[in-house]
Amino acid sequence: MATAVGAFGGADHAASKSGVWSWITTVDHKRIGILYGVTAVTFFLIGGFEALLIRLQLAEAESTLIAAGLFNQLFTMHALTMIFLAIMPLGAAFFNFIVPLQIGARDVAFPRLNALSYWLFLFGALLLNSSFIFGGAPDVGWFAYANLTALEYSPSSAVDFFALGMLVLGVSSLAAALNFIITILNMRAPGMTLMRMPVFTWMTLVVSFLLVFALPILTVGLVQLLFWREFGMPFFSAEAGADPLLWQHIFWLFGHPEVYILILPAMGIVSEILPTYSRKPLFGYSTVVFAGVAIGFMGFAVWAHHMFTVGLGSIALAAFSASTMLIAVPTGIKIFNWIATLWGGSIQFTTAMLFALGFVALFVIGGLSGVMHASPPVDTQQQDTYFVVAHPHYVLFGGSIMGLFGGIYYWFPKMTGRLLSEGWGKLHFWLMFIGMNVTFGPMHLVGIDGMPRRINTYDESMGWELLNQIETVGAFIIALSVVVFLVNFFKSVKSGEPAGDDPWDGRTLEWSIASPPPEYNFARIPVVHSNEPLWDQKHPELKHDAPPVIAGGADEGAEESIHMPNPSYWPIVVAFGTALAAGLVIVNPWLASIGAVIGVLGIYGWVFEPAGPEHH
Amino acid sequence: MANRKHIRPKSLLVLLALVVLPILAACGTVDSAQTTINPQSDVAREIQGTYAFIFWVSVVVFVVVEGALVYAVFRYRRRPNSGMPKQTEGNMVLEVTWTIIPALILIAIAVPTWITIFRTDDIPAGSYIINVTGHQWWWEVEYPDVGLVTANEIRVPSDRTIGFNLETEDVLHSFWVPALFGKIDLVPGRTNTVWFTPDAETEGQMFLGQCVEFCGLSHANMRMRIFVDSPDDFAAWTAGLQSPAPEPSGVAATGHELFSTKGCTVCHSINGAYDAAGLFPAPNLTGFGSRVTLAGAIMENNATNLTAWLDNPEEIKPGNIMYKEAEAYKNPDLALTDADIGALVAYLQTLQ
Repeated sequence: MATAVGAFGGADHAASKSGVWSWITTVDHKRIGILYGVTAVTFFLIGGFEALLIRLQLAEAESTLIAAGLFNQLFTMHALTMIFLAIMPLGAAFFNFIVPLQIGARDVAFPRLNALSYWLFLFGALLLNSSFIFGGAPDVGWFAYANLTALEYSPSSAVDFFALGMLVLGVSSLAAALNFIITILNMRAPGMTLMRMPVFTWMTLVVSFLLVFALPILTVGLVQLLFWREFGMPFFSAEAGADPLLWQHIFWLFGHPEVYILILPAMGIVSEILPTYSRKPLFGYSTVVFAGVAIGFMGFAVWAHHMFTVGLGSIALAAFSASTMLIAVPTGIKIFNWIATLWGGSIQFTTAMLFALGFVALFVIGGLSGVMHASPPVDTQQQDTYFVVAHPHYVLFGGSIMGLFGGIYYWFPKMTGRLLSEGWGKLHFWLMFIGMNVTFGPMHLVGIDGMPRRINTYDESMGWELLNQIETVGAFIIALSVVVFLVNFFKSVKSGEPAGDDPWDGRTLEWSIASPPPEYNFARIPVVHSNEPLWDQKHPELKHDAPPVIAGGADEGAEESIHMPNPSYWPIVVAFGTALAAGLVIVNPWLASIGAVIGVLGIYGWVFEPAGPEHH
Repeated sequence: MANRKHIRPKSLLVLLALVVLPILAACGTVDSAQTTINPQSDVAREIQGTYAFIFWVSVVVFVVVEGALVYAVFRYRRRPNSGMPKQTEGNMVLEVTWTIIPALILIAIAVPTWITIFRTDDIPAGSYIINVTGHQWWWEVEYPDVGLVTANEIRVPSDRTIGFNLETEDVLHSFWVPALFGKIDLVPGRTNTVWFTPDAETEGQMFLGQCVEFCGLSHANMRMRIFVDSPDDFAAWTAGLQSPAPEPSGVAATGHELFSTKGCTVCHSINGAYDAAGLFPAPNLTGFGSRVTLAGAIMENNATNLTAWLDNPEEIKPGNIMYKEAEAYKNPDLALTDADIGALVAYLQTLQ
């Protein structure tokens, strides 16, 4: 393949269809989506392995299986991996693959920037995890509270790996978010007004705005943290008259919107799955959309509920408990609207539907425990106990992960042209659903029993051992379910039943084209007249006022006149230079200039890359 | 779709029970050693009242919502003769209703929450004040009115409201004895407070607590105990600590000498030396022999454990400063022999 590469990296289109080089240079949103997905699942396995080690250590009172230092690295990296390297990029995988198809576009607005986002994510993730080899992974919790992160208390470079890895990942997410905002706002098919967008696309838009507003806050904090450690600028040092709580405010002002960044994509997926398998429109489409937008806005007004025990003062406690409880209203609306979507429907229990229903059932539990610690006095008993380990796991595992797996089963046929096995899929679902409750359910109890989180050992006399053993068994049931998924995945990729274009009787535009979609997606750009264009086209008898829809579909011969962007290797060069610079900062800030030079040269090459022979 | 098998209603109900039962069982675990739901003071009971109210409201919401979900799933499952369902797009009245009802429920939860916040905020006037300082990984406890400093075990009189002023010497910690009060963080540069009045029947009882804000390597090994003493016992205890320890004899006298020559006195103060200035970075060992626990309340204070602790503190409490900084562990010339440790144990046990 490499032979086809021109002086400035413009590869020949014909050579870009297969082989490793084609993946490295791809700017096709669908292939980038697959790269995101495969990488995210890989990190999901790594994060899960870390969780299993944690659970093995805690299964026995006073266990000496894993030393305290490694234990602290494991729980820190488990959280960072699952949040930033598994759930977020798995959401990004669907944004990439599905959103352009749902809005009737041929690609995202900036295809090379899109490739850059992926490669920055990959290299940022590798940088963060390379700390395991170079002197120890971050061990200060994923929240990295000051002043434990000060050079005095964390002299190794673990905290620097945290800060620099997160900075690289932040650039990746920010670029992707801007790309998707611009794509969604500008590249919708004719007739697709904002209130005709599929809910998944809507939630992608909300998440992208959340990222754009939340990530710079974290970036500021991370730069301050690095300047504190590298140059002695005491942003968070009480001895110098600063306040360590500043870090907590900064972190959670980013960190709470981050929670919605993790859950809203899954809510979007569920809002696609439930109508499809109920054969009914989403109940109260506009209410669900506005509730999602409201959650996005309110997510910035509740950060201090992570800080109810730091001594905020009564007025602040009262105010932030009120704003936190308020956020339960739009969340509740969504749940009621989902149930109303099922009501009166014709419900088909596919694996995707089971995951969506599991999402709703489990998210309710996470929501209710959330209301409990929205009350500051109650939170003084629950904060930093296993009760508050159960809560985010019901939201992020029961919620995000179940929703994302639902998305995998739902859209896998569109992505590959083959169906995942329903038999293996249902086994996967039930094992995961049971394992999830056996793991995280007892955490409520052991938390009420006063077991703190982030402890590597406890006395047998505390009476926590039995519940911990049950949790560990549950964790291995989850692991088994993931093995079942992997078997299903690899079997089905090779020899799954052919899916056809529209296996689920879908309602939105992605089901109107071939599976897998051609590189250009739509031979002719469709014209849209409702928020369920394909459904209305298939069932004109159900709607009296909707005009007919011209969906794209395969239109042989039209392909010749479609211009698609050329492959490029400059995104990976820029990403490599950026991540290398970040990594070398840890060794010596001057060495970082090597990476910076590579990055700048990459940008130069990128800017002057000729369009090349156009693909006509 | 090839596979359109239906789920049997029974299996889903069983699963629902699997989820519901553990949550309901949460009300029953009042007997465990560090339970959060068996309040033994005014403040803890106030918190528990708020929690119990929210808990039962949540149970009702849970049953209604999950019930509706499960009902819809079974009632409307696709059957061979299912036709095309009615394409309902929404219903404004319904949607407004399920916006307003949760909002009202949340107001009902917010009001008792706010009342509790303001009832429990400041230390009441006339309380018995104890100053606590967090260290990696132990608690320094100062009684300013009697000029005493001790560590990890806090004795309080049963007839007073107790107020704690909380500061930290190094990183964030969190102070928590769930039966008596909710947790509050120790933040560098700040003085946070918490208070409680023990119930009458707590007299003579011991309560467990531990640090609950991640504070580094040995976070799990930073525990504490509160003993609620009768007023007389409390007075006797403070008087005992204020009087000089008996002159050691025999092997204990050797231990006393080693305590100076091995450099222990650089960091540890003994015999009532009041350390309000915080000059001694390690636990004050006045009355050490009368303490129930050692090494941050992680193990029983007896000769075997104390020997093990002095022999290899790093193994018992990874990262502890004594092992890292003390001459007896750093300097081979001052290393402790088994005989030295025996003498030190004998001496420390005389500190009643």
